[in-house]
Amino acid sequence: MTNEKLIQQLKCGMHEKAFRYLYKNLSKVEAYVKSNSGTKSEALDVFQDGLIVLYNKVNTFSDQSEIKVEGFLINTCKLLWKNELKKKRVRNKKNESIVIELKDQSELEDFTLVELRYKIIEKIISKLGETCRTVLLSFYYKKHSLESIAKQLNYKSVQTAKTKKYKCMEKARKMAVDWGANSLNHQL
Amino acid sequence: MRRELEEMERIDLYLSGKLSEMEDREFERKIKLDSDFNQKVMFQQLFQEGLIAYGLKQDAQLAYRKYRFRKWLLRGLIIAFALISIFFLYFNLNKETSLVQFVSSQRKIKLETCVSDKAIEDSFIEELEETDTTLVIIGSDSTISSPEFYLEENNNLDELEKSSIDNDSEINDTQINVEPTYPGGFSALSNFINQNINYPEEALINGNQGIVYVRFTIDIEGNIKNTRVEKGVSKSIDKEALRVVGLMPNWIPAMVNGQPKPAYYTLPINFSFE
Repeated sequence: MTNEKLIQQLKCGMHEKAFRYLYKNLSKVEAYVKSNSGTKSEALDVFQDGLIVLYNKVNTFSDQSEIKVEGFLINTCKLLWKNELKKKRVRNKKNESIVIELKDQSELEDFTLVELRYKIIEKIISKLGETCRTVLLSFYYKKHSLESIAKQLNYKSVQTAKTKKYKCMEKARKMAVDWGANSLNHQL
Repeated sequence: MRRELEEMERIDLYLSGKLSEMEDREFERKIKLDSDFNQKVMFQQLFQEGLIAYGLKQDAQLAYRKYRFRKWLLRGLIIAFALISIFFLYFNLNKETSLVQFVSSQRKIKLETCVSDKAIEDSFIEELEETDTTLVIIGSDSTISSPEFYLEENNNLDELEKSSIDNDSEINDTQINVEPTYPGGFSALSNFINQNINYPEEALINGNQGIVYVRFTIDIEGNIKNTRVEKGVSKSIDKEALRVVGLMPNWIPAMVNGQPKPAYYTLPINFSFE
């Protein structure tokens, strides 16, 4: 698969296919992580974060034709791992402090979507119910319409879907508040 | 509830840039003035982005599972294919499926009175060495190498044979017209042997191979008679050679000066495997 084709897939909703292809680079990342005091599963985590960064890069910036997808991916993974090692050292020295880590991470401008605050959101999402997850992901990630969501979940009307979406979002917000994530808001 | 629903909807629209310019500006003003509202908008933005990250991560994990599956499926198929090929090759050792092409550049017709068995054997072997035959073997199984035949005095035909031969003190090659032939010619004979012969299992196991010389008489009607092994290889191989020769249909008899004559024919059958 050529570089161009990969970029096209990443942009046009076929990113899962592109990911499938890109996993052939996993062994390189595994080798890097292992030789830098990491494990195979940590390598996989880093690799998947790398895929997300790649996706974001391709979809956000204008001159994507300049991006060499596989090279970018591997370099990103290496940076992410270095970053992770730094965090580990910090964690060992003091108790985990969100503020400090955010400062570190904001230097890496491409890495927005894998920042810690999103990891917290990730936790919140995983704590929501199955239905809430489906509704929210369908609407905000897959960009489905409320009508199709209502159909998918066998709701009586679009209004029901709308209400459910609102309720789920509110639930998430409350969880965030409870976790003192107000501090996150200030950092934005 | 309705008001809050609509508010969320508007925030959605704002965040995806779907509001008009005027509405946009109005919105931003509200964000600056109302800190609670500001927080709501900020959270919703953050949460939306988090949802995208979550969804992407799920896709990445799904892609990984598919990648692994495909990798192992491919490996499995290769192994299965290798096993099947080995199986297939093994079973084909027992079967006669090959074709033999035989090109003989010389075939001598010899007229000889049968004096003793030894004399025949000697001349026969001599004959074999002289004949220039090229064997092209396709596959690994039995072949027919150079056949030889002799017009011979047969027990039953003593009188007739003796007289005709005695009278012609000089044997002229031009008098001998046609050797006995298998209907369809030598290639047909080859095919017949190849299609009917089976390499005996016992011989395969013991590793027996070699050329079996089967001799038989072809009478004036073309009937095959008195088949016997002149020089054999092993019990099972000899038996198989005799069996197949016994299956042959009538031949076209030998002709001398236009007259059919009895003759005998020695057919070498080569049992070999690679």
